[in-house]
Amino acid sequence: MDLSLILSLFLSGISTGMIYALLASGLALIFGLLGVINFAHYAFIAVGAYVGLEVMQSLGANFWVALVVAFVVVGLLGALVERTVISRLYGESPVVSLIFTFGLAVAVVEILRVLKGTAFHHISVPTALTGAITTAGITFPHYRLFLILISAALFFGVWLFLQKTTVGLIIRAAICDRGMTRALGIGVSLAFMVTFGIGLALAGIGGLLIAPMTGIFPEMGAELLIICFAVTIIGGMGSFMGALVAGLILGLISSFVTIFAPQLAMVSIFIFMALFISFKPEGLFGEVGRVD
Amino acid sequence: MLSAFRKVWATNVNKSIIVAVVLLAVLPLIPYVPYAIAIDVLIFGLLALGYNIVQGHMGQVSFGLAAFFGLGAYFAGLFAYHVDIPSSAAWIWLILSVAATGVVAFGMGAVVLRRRGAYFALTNLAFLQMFYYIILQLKDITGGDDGIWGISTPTFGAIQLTPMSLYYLCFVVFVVCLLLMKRMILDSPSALVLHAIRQDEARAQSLGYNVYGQMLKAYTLSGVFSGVAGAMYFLEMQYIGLSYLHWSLNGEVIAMVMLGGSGTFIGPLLGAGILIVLKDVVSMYTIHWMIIVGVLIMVVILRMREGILGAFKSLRF
Repeated sequence: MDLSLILSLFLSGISTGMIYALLASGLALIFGLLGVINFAHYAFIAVGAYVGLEVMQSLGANFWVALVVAFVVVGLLGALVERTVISRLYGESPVVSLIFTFGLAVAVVEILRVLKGTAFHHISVPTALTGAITTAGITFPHYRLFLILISAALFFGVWLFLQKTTVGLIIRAAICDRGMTRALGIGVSLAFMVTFGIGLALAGIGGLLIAPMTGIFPEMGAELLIICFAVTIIGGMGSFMGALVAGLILGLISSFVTIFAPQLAMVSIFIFMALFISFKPEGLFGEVGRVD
Repeated sequence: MLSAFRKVWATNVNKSIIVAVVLLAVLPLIPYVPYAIAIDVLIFGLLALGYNIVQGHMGQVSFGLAAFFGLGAYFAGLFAYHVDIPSSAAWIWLILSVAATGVVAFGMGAVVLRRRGAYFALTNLAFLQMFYYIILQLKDITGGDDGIWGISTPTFGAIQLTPMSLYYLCFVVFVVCLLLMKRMILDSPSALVLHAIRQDEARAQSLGYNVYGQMLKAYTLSGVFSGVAGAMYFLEMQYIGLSYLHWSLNGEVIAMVMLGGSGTFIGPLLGAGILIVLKDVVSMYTIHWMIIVGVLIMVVILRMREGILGAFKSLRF
C-alpha cells in the first residue's frame, strides 16, 4: 500500500470522524449539563437537512445561507422543546430521558414523513466546493476538506463559547454544581435552554452538512446517531475530548476497513466498540458510573 | 381439585395470569378479531414479557432487544430455507433456532453487562446495529436487503398450519413460556436475588451473590423468550427481513412494556394487546401510526410512569 493511498484514506477518515465528533459533542454538551441523553438528536439531524433543503428550494437561497438558517432554526426549535418538555425531565435518571427522547424522536420523524413524505431528496455540493485537490499524488474532494474545516471550526467554536463567554461560564459552573450556581442567584434555566439549543443546532447543521453525501430522508440521522452513541460509549458520555478522539478513531477505522473489505466498514465500528468495552469498560475519558 | 385451585387463585399475580390465559384462549373466537391480530397479541405479548425480564425485573433498559427477536426469526427462517426439515423434526427445528438465539444472547450479555444504566442501553443498541449490518452484508445466505419471501415451513405432525391452528400452536407455546417465565423470574430463589440486584446492586454484591452471573442468566433468558417470539413470528409470516432487527421495534416494545407497567409481571402483555389493537384501528385511517408510539412513550414517561397495571400499587400484579 503506497503512501498516497494511506494519506487519502487518512483524510477521508478524518472528515467522517469530524462529523461524528461534531454530532457527539452536541450529545456530550446536553448530557454534561442537563443529564439528558438525547435520542431525539437523529430526528433533528433530519430536521436540519429539511430546513436547509426548504430554504434552498423555496427561497432560492444558496448553501451557505441554508447552513446558517438550519443552525438557527433547529437551535430555536431546541430551545422550544427544552422549555416545553425536556425541562420536566431534570433530576431523572438518564435512562428515563433516553426513553422519553426516543418517543420524541419517533414522533418528530413521523411528523417529517407527514409533512415531506418519504421521498429521497438530493442536494448538490455548492459549485465553489465541487472538484478535488490533487497534490502529492492524492486526490481529495474539496467538499470533504471543507467538512473537516467547518466541523473543526464549529467544534472549537463551541469550546471557545464555553471557555470564554459569560454564558459559557454559567454553563460550566452549572455542570459542576447546579445547586450552588443557582444559590448564587444565577439563572441556570437560561443556561439549560441555551445548551439544549446549541446541542440541537449542531445536529441541525450537521444534518445539512452530510446531506450532499447521504441524501435527505426522514430517518437519515438514525444510523449516524447509533454510531455517535458508539462514540460516546468509547469516549465517555459527557466528555468533549472523548467525543473528538473517539469520533476520529471510528472515522479512521471505517475509512481504512472500507479499502480492504467495504462490506465490513460499518460492522467494524461496532466490533471495535465491543472489543473496547470488553477490555476497558469505563471508556477513554469517562468516569465509570457517571451515567449509571 | 377445588382447594388446589383456591390456593393458586390466592395471589394477584396468579389471578392475572389465569385471566390472561382464559382471555387469550377465546380471543380469536370473539367476532371482529382477525387471526392475524390475535396471533400478534400472543407474539408481541411474549416479546414484551420476555424483554421485561431485563427492564422490569432486572432494572436495566435495553435498546437492543430486537436483536433476539430478529435472530430468532432469522435462525428459524434460514434453517427452514437451507435445510429440508421433515415434519417429524418440526419441534426440534424450533428448539434449535431458539437455542441458537440463546447462545448469541449469552455472548452478547457477557459483554453488555459490563456496563449499567444508559451505557447498557446504548451498548445494546450498538450490538443490534452490528447484527443488522452483518445480516445485511451476508446477502448470499440471508437475502440481504430484500429478505427471503415465502419460505415453506415444516408441518407439525398432522397439523396443517391454518390461521386457527397457528393461533393455537402459538397459544400453547405462549402459555408454556409464560409459566416457565413465572417460575424462573418470580418463584425461584435466584429470582429473589435478581430482584435484590435491581433494588441495590452493591448490597447484593456485598452479600456474596454472583451479581454478574445472575444478570447474565436473566439476560440470556430474556433473549431466549424473545427468540421464541421471533421464531413464532417467522412461522406466521413465512418471511425473514431486516425490519425484524430494526431499532424502531425496540421502541414499540418499550412502549408496550411501559404502558402496561414494567414493574408488574403481566403488565407488558396488557400493553402489547392495547398497542396492537390501537395500531390496527389507527392504521385504517393513516399509515402514520408510529406517531402514536412516540406520543404514547412521552405521555407514559411524563404522566403515568408506573403504567396501567402498575398504577394499582396495592394489588401487586
